[in-house]
Amino acid sequence: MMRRLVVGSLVLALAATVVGSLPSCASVPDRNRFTAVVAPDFAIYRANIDLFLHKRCGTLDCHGQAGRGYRIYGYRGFRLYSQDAGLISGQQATTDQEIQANFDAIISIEPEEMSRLIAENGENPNRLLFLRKPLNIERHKGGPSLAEDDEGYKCITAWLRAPKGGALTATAKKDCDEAGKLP
Amino acid sequence: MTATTHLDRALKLATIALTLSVGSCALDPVHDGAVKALGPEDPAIPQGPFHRQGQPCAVCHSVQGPAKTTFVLAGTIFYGPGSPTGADQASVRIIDATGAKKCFITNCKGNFFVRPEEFPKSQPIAFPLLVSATKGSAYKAMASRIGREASCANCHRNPRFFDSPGQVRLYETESQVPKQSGECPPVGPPVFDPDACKENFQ
Ligand code: HEC
Ligand code: HEC
Repeated sequence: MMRRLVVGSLVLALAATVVGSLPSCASVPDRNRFTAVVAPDFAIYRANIDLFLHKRCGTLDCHGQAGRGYRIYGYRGFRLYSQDAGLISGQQATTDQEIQANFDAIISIEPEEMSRLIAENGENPNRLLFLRKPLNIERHKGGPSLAEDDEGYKCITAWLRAPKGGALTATAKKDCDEAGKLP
Repeated sequence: MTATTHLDRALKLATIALTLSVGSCALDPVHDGAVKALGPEDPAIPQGPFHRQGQPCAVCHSVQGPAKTTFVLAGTIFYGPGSPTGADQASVRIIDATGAKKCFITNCKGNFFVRPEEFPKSQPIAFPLLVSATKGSAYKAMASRIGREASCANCHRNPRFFDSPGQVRLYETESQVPKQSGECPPVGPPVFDPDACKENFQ
């Protein structure tokens, strides 16, 4: 009687384990599932924002390294690794793929929040972690690295407000040019 | 004594034991790993200004140790891209975020180091920094800024690759590298060329 009970409960436990683990391994990640992001304008980013962020945030000891969620590639620091291109830190100019990767990195920090922001024409940009961190509203390992009266901040927020396929205002363009002069 | 007070005491004891063990070893596996990865000392060179050429000095010379002294900036200037020879009497100039300009001279291993005391207490070194290295007519300036890192060698590693510009060097090719002579470490105390950092000697 005792033995049957033990065997019985073993079987039960085994069954429970199998059933319990089923749902978790039955759902193989769907590779075709993706989050569509309403993204800010790429052309404005490439021409006005990328260089500033690369200089200001992308050094090898900050966002120019593999350990960072928001990772920045380019001439002055971390290179997008590929055997063919053989990019080396401090050697070749920043490539288009690197600029694209930098842009993708920004919009994938908070895809949904970014989509909402762009859908609302860039109003209230400080909701983005991308700005909350350098403004030090949210804990940032690199401390405060941007202020709301910086040309760089004004340039970035003007980009987030700009319509897709549109252009920056003359004042914003000036801010961006000024910000880009940073060593 | 009731069961709850027993439990209470046990919990208190456990808390104390836990606090003591954490406090005493201040375990930081990342830092430990970084120090271990640098390997043992070269037995031919005593622990001092000439040791660990090309290594990230401030990994150990930090509050976490194992060195007792702290450096706010340190590194090694080499002659050529892959050259093991450090550039003696080279000057390393920096401009910090407050605009403070400073110049430091390397020793015969090419090593230089900056202690916190070299900056006024009221105005400690402020990152980001701009930096350049000079010796005679050789001049190299870093285009980008140092964001927060105190050791040149945490970015400047050999060989140059996608994640490092290579060691800090004064010449681009080995053929440009001048011949070196002299004992290093020197027999007597190190002498610094006052011309290397004129601005500091005015
Ligand atoms: C792996 C750890 C480690 C690294 C890397 C390292 N040191 Fe040291 N250093 C030590 C230890 C340990 C001592 C022994 C004295 C002490 O505890 O401060 C020491 C001593 C010294 C001293 C004598 C103490 C003083 O402050 O005057 C100098 C100078 C020095 N090191 C310079 C350097 C320089 C320059 C570099 C980089 C090129 C460097 N060290 C890299 C661990 C290290
Ligand atoms: C945060 C990473 C980082 C740190 C720390 C760093 N560097 Fe650099 N350095 C670079 C990169 C990347 C380059 C290549 C691109 C450039 O010039 O900005 C470079 C380039 C240089 C160059 C120009 C090289 C050439 O061939 O023209 C010099 C000189 C230099 N660094 C000196 C130093 C010195 C001295 C230190 C330490 C006080 C230091 N660097 C610390 C990242 C760093």
